[in-house]
Amino acid sequence: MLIALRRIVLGLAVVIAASAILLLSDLQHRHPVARGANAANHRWKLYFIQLNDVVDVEDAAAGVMEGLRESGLKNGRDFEVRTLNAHGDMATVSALIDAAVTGGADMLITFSTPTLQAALRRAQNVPVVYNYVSSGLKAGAGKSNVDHAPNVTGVNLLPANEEALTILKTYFPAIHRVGTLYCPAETNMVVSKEALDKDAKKLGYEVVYVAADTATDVPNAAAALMGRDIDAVLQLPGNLTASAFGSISDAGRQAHIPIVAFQKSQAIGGALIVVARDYRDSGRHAAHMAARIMRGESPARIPLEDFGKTRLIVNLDAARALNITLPPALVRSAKEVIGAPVGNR
Amino acid sequence: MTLLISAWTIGLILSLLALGVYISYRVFAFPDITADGSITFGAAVAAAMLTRGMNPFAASGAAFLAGTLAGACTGVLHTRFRINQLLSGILVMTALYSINLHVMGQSNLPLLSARTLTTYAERIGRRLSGGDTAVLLGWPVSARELGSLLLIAAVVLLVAIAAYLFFRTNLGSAMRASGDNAQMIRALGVSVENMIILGLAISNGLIAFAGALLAQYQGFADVQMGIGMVVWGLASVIIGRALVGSDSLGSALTGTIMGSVLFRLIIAVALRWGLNPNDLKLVTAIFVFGALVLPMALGVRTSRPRPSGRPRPDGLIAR
Repeated sequence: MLIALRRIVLGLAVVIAASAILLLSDLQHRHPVARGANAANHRWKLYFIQLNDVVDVEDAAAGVMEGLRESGLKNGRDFEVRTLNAHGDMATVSALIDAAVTGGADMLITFSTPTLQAALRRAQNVPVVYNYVSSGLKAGAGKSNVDHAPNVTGVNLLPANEEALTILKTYFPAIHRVGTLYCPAETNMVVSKEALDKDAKKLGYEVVYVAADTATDVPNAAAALMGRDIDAVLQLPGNLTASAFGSISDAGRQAHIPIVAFQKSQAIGGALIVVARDYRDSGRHAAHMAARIMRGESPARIPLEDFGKTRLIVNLDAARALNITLPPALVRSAKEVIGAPVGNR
Repeated sequence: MTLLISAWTIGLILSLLALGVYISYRVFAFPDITADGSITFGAAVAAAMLTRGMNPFAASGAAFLAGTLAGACTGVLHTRFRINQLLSGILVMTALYSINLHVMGQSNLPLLSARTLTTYAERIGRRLSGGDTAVLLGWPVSARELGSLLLIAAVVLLVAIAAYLFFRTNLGSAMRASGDNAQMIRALGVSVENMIILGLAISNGLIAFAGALLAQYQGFADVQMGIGMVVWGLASVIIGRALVGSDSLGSALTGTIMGSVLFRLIIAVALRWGLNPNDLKLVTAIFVFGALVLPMALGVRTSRPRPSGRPRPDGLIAR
């Protein structure tokens, strides 16, 4: 009994020691720093708060850096960036926000819905700019794009369904039934699905959804999708479908079904047409908002924005593999053309 | 300081998960991975009720019940349908994924404007600190954080005492014995199958309850929040065993809770040191290793030599 008690005390000592180490490392943050004081010549401490390590988040983060540069801000002179990533463990998300806030963050830039939500709850005195989120309102950031949490602003990104469907309608009138892989666990995808349902109904398309939950499901799910008698794949953007796009592209090639997608990387990955409205661009836009805050604007006055820009990319190699000739008007209107035209080789 | 308090709070919340894992893994030697699904199930049920304005205590209780249901399913699959232990857990966990989506109606529910246990915690914190922020050893701490920690600590204490008392009743002893020596307990006329079902129900009830608390504390429930949780639960149980070095019931329960808190503290230290974010998990692993071998290095004996060489299998089971 006594031995057991001694061991418990010893264990407790280890826990207390860990607490003490944490407190000691926290010593320099004992007095709250005056945030954003004299905005003009202050070097802003930006914290990137990320939930997981996926291609899209890396894209978005690169976009934010690009956007800050475009706004005339220089890394090291005007701002410094620290990145905190929960590596997919949702119980760590709160600790990320605490580490950033008590570490003297002047602004948080969140990537993904859960990190935005944790910031909404725990970082009420620090400006927060979110991106890589499909709907800030659904995440709880406010009632409308102008009536939102006073320290929070950011960019919502919905895929360019309507634009993509309009292109199909104009140039490929024979296509009526489109299909997409869908991961029900990703908030971004769920919101995108709702939007696609609405747009498809409006433009008279039928959509087939096949669910996939993990990367290993994707090859099978993609094969199943191609077997569902669809005329084209209209792939909704998401974490899973971005990282496993190769499998979708393979299945499409084998079944001779063209793929229309929304992320730029997927044009190189084998999609025929990409109506890019991607996380990199929305990250750039979020950075422009962050720059306004760094120049003294209040986030409360900056409305949440639905990111609307698109960029059309066509892939002639994919067209050749499918034995399709893309209408010249479509190719002309593309901002970017991948691959060589037929006969040029 | 805020980081310390939130690490303790999340550590204590997840210690309920660890206690659940302790029951399945140590008491019954049942590797139950239902946990990944049931923690989200608890969060989902609580969140769905809270966003409809229901009482937070009722919502948390309902989460517990939902978890017991999930655990009982795993138990039934294993005992009645003779499905392998791991597979029973995997099946229920997989099914729960879809169920959680249905329960929430979407993959993520924000609880920022709902009345939750955190609302009560904030009230407690305000009463104690007399305002929005308290000053603790010179660090400013928000009343909500302080209140949350106190509330959660009280809840965990109650649960631990209840578990201790329960496992000393006739039923609880029978349960432990069926994990220890199924042959013997069957000979005494106890249904081992029923014990397993009941044990897994309690285990997953606690885990789902942990999920409900976590969702309320963090301000959202997300269908992916359970991923990898069973691993953290197991880690806490094993760290706890190493910390207290004893299999007696009281030590094991205390150790499990300490293990969970220690684990979260270590993550917080790694975060605070501002290392390369890609190294977070590596550093966490190294720190845990350090915390486990440090007592040994300091010359503290981790286990007493056994009297008179009575051989004993290394304890999977609490005694």
